[in-house]
Amino acid sequence: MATMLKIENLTAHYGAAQALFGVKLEVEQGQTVSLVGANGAGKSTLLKCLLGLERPSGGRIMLDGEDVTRSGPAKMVRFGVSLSPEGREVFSHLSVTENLQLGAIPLKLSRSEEQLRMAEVFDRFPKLHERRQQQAGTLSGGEQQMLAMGRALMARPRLLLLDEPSLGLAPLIVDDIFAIIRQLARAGTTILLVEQNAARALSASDKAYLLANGKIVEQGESSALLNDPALRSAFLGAASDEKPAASRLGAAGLTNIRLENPAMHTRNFMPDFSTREELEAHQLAGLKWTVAHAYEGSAHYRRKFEEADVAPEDITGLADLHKLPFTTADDLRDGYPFPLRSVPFEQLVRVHASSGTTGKRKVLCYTQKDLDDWTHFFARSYQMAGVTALDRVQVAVGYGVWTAGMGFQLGAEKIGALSVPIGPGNIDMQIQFLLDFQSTVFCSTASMALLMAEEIHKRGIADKIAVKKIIYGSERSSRSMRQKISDLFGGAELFDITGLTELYGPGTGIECPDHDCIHYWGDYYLLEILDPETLQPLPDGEWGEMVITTLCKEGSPLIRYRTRDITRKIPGACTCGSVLPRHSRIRGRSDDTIKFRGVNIYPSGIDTILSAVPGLGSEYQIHLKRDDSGRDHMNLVVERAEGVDMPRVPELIQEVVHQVKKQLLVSVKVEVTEYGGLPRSERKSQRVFDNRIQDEIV
Amino acid sequence: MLRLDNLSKNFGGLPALSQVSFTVPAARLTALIGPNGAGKSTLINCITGVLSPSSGSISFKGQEIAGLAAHQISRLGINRTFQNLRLFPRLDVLDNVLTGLTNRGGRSMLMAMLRLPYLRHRERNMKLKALESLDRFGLGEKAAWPAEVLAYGDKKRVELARAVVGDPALLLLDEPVAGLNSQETAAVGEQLKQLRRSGHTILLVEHDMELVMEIADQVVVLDSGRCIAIGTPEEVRRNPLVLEAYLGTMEATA
Amino acid sequence: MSSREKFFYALYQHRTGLTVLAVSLLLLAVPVFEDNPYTLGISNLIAINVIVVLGLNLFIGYAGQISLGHAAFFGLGAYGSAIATTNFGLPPWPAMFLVATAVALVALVLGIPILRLSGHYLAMATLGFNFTVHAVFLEWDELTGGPSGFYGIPYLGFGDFSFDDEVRLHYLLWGCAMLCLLLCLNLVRSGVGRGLSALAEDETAAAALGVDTRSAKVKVFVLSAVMASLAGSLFAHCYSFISPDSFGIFTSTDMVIMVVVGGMGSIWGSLLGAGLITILPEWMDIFETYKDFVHGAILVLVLMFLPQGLVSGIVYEIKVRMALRRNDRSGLEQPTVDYGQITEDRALAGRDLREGQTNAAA
Repeated sequence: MATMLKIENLTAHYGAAQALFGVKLEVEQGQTVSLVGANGAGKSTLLKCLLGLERPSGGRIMLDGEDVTRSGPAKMVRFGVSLSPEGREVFSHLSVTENLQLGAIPLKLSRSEEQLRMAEVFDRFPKLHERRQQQAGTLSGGEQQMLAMGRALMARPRLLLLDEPSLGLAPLIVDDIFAIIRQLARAGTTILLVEQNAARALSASDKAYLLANGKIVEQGESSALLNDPALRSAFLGAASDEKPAASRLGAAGLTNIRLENPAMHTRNFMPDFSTREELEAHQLAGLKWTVAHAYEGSAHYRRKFEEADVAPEDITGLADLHKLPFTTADDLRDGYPFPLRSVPFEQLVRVHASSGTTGKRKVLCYTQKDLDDWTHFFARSYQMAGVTALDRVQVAVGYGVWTAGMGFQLGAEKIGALSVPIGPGNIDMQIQFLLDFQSTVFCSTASMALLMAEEIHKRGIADKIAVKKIIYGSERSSRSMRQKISDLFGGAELFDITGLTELYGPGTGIECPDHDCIHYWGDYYLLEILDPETLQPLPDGEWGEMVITTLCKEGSPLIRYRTRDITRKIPGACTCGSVLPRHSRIRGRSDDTIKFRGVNIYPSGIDTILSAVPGLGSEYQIHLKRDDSGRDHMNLVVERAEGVDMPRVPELIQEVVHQVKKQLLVSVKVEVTEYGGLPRSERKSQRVFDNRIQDEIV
Repeated sequence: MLRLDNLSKNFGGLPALSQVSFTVPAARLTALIGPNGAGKSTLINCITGVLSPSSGSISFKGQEIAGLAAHQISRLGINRTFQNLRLFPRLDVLDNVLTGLTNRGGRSMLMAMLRLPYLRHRERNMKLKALESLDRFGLGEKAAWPAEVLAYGDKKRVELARAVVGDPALLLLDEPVAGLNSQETAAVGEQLKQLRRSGHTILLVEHDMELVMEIADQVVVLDSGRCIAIGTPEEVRRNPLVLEAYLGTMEATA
Repeated sequence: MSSREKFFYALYQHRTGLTVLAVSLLLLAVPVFEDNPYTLGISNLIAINVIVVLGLNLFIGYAGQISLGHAAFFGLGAYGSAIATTNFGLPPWPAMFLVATAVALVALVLGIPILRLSGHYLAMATLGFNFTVHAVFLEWDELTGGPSGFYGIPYLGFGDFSFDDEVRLHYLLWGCAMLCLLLCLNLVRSGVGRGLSALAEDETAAAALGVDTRSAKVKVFVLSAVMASLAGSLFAHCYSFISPDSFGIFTSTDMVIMVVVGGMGSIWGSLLGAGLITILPEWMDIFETYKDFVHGAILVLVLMFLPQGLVSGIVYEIKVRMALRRNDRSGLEQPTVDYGQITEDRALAGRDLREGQTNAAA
C-alpha cells in the first residue's frame, strides 16, 4: 500500500517554547491512523503544521511523495488534505449551506459540482439537510461536529484530518460520529484521527501513535495497544477496567441491607412526653424524690439543707429549686472517697473517677439502677445520632475507672450495635481495626479524632474505612477542627456528646442530627443557667454556668451542682423534631476564661476567629507572659493549613491580629508555624499556657 | 433550593425548552443529562439570567428569579462555570479567582480610590480566601501566572475555584470535565464529592456517565427540550425512555 | 517575624503609595535643576495630558471600551471654566468643580444610551459627539469666541498667590497629576477595579460573577469624562487662552494613542504614553507637516508588535516567560509518560497576540 502521508522529524516552536520534538509518523493509503495524547501533548500543533496553518521549525512533511512542508493551507486543501478542527469552529453567523460551501472554496468548483458534493454530504448527514438554512451557531454540539466534518468532506479529501471529534458530545452522538468515521474508512478515505478519548480512537483505527509532551512515546497496531495493560493504566485509567458502579454498591452493602430489611427490630429510647407540661410534671416528681432521697440518705446533704433552712416538704414546684443550696467540687473533695453517698453500701455496685485534669480526681458511686439509667439514656444518645443495630462502634476512650469506656460500650450494646472496645491510644491498632472491622462509628476525644484523621490522611486510606459518624466528647472543639476531622475521615458526621463524671458520665446529651444544638435529657436532670458571679438565673439564650440537679440518681445525687461549664439554653422547638430541651455546645469552663488586660477571653472565642481565617490550621496555643513593667502580653501561636507556603505568612499574621483586635478588642502578637508543628494529644490538648505570676497556690 | 415550574423557552419558532419542571434539593448534587440539543445549556442560561425564559417560573429559595439580570442572580448566591471555559485570560490566576468574590467586595468606585483601611482589610481577607480556594484545587503555586498560560485541565480547575470561592448557595457546573483525561476527571469528581459533603448544592450538566452515576444524588434527563425522567442514578439508568433517547449502547467511554 | 522582616513587609504593603511619593519627590526636585520655562512648559502639558489619559485608560484599558471623542470633555471643561470665570466672574476653584459636575451629567446622559453599543459603533458614536461639541465651540462665538479663541482666562491661585509662571504651575499640575495617579492606582488594585478588568476580558463571565456591566461601563465613562474635564479646566487656567483647534477629533485620537502606546491597562504606562506623545512633536520638528502620519505609524507599529501597549505588553511578556520557564523546569523532572503542559495553550496565546487585541476593533 502506498504511503499517503509521511512526517519526518518534525519540530515546531512557539516563540521560545518547543511543542514538537522530532515527530515521525506515517499513514498509508486507505488506513485510519489515530494520534492519541492528553491536552498539551502537541496533537493540534501537529495537525496545524500538517495543514500549513503553522510553520514547523524543522523536519519534512511528505504527501504522496511530494514535499509539502511549507505549503499554506489553501494549497494543502488543493492537495487533498482537509481538517475538521478541534471544537468544530463553524462560522456561527453563516448558515449550514454557506459553511459547507466554504469547505471547498480553494478548489474553485463549478456550481453543479458543488451542489453534487453538498448533496453527498447531506446524504451522509441527514440532520444537516434538515437544518441547511439554519445559522450554524444555533446547532447543537453534535450537529456542529457533523457540519465540521461535512465541510471537510466537501473538498473530497484524500487525507481527512479529524481533530477531537468526540469532544463535548453525548455518548450516543459519539457513537453516530464514529459510525460515520468507520463508513468513511470503508469508503476508502485515509483518515488521521486525533483524539484524547483513547478507547474510542483505538477501537476505530488500524494503527495508532501515542503522543506525550511533543514526542511519540508508543506506536503500533491499535488492537495491540488497546489490550496492553501498562498503557491501559497510563491512558485509560483504572476506572475503565471495572464497572465502577458495581464496586460502590458493594461497599454500600450495609445501607442496602438496612433499607431492604425494615423488619429489623429497632428499640426506641426516646421518652414519650409530647408536651412541656408532661415533661415538667415528670421533672417535678423527680425533684421532689431527689430532695427527699438526699435528705434522708446523706448526712452531708441534710446538713446543707438545714444550713439553708429548707426541707423536702418545701419543694412544691419547679420554681422552688432556688431554695436549694449549691453543691460544688469542694463537696466532692470533702466527701472523698464516697462523696454525696445517699444509699447504704450494699446497694453500691460501682465507682468511677474523673480524669483529674481540672484539679483533684472526683469519684462517684453508682447503684444498679443508676447504671441501668445511664445505659438507657446513652443508648438514647446513640439513637439520636442515628446509630442502629447494624453499626459497629469503635470505642477509643479510656476504660478502667474512667466513665467514658464503659459508658460508650454499654450504650452501644444496649442499642444493639457491635461494640469494638479497643480503648484509647495505640493508633496503629486503631487503624487496623477500622480497616478490618470496617467500624462505622468512632468514639473518642476531639484531639484523638484529629490525630486519627491526620493518620488516615497520611496513609491515604480514607476510602478504605467505613466511618460515617464520629462521636466525641469531654473536650471543646473549634469549627475548623471539626471540619478537618470530618474531611480527613472521608466526610464523616460529627456529634459532640456531653457529660460529666459527676453526672453519671458521657451520654447526658448529644448534638442534634441537624447539628445546630445539643439535646439534653431533661427527664433525667434539670439544667439551670446561672450567672457565675451572682448565681442568679439568666434568661434563655444567655451564656452562663450550667448547674445540674439530678432527678433519679441514687448513689450520689446532685443538687444544684455547679459544673463550671459555660453554655446557654436554646428555647423553642428544634428543627429535628425532638421535644427534648436543648443547649448550645459548651463554650468552655468558667475557669477557662483568660483574663487579659481587663478583658475576659474565652478560648472558644479564639477558636471562632481562627476558624474564620482562610489558610490556618485548627491547632493553636496561647502563651501569656508578664513583662518586667507588669504589662501582660499574649502570644498566639497558630499552625498554618497544610500546603500553605511561607510567603503567605505575613498576611495571615496581619489578618489574625486585625480580627482579634476587631472582635476581642485586644492586641496580641501572632506567630504562624508550619502545619503539624504543634503537639497533638490522644487525650485533651492543652492550649493555654499562662506563665504570668499566679498568686494562688494550688 | 431551586425550583423550576413549567419553564419554556422559544427561539423564534423553535422551542428549546418545553414545560420543564423539577427541583434541586439543598445540599445535594443534581445532574442534568441529555443528548446534545436537548436544551441543557439553554436551561442553565435561563437560570443564570443570560437568557430570559418565555414562560414558566424559576424560584430560588422561594424568590422568583426568572428574567433577572445575570449579575443580580449572581448576587443572590448562584455561581456557575461555563461549558467553553470563560476565564479572564490576561489576568493572573489569583485575580481570576478573586473576581469570584466580587459580591463580597464593595461597589463604590470612590471608596476604592480612597483605599481606606477597612478596604485594605477586606482585600486582604479576600486574597487569603482566594489563595485557600486555589490551594484546595492544587493551584497554589500558579497563583501569579497569567491564566492564559495554564494547561487546559488547570484552567478548568481555576474556573471551578472561582465559582466555589464565594461559597455560593447554588453551584451550576456546565460540563466541568469536558476535555479532561480520566485522571483529571477523577480528581474533579473527588472535588465535587467534597463540595457536596460540605453542604453545597450543586446542579451539574455532564455527558460523562460514569461520573454522573458515581456522584449524583438525583438525575434529571432532558430530551428535545422536555424533561423525560427524574430520579436516582440507578432509576434513570434503567428507565427505558432514557435508554432509548440517550444512553444507547454504551461502549467504553473512558 | 523579626522587625527587619516586618519593616520590609510594611514597605511591600504600601509599595504603591511609596512609589508615588518617591516619583512625586523627584518631580518636586525638577524645577531646582531645570528652570528653562520652555521645557517646564512641555512638562506641564504632559501633566495635563496625564490626567486625561489616566481617565481614558480606565475606560479603554480597564473597562475595555473605546472612545474617540474625549477631547470633547476636555474642551467642555476648558470652555466651561473659561466662561464661568471670565464671563460670570465665579472664583476659579469652585467653578472648576461645578463644571466637572456639569460634564459628569452630560457624560451620564450621553453614556447611558451609547454604552449599549460596542466596538465600531461605540467608536463612531463618541466620534460624533466630539464632532458636535467641536462644532458648537466653533460656531457659538458669542459665548466661546469662535475660531479666534477665548482670551483672558484668569490664573488659578489662593488669595494673592497665583499660579502664573511655569515653575508654580509645575507644582500645581504635577501635584494634581500625582493625586489622580494615586487614586487610579488604588481603584485598579481594588475589587471594583478587578471587576472592570474582568468586564474588559469577558463581559458575560463578568456579569455571571456579579459585575453590573452596564452600570460599571457608565460609571467609568463618567469618571473619565470628569477627569478630562478637570484637565481641561486646568489647561484653560494654565494657558489663559484656548481655541477650538485643541479640542477636535485629532486631539481625541492623540489621547487614544497615548493610552495605547503607554499600555492599556497599565496606570503607570499612562505617564509614559502621555509623555512620549506630547514630546514627540518637539523631537520631530522636521516632520511638522507629517505629524499625523508619524503618529499613525507609531500606533500601527505598536499594535502590530505589542498590541497591549508598551508597558502592559512588556510586563505581560515577562510574566508569561517566567511562568513558562518554571513550567519547563518542572516538566523535565517528570517521567516521559506525563500529561503535557503549556505548549498547546501557549500556541493559543501566541495566536492571540499576533492577531492583535485592539479593543478598538473589538
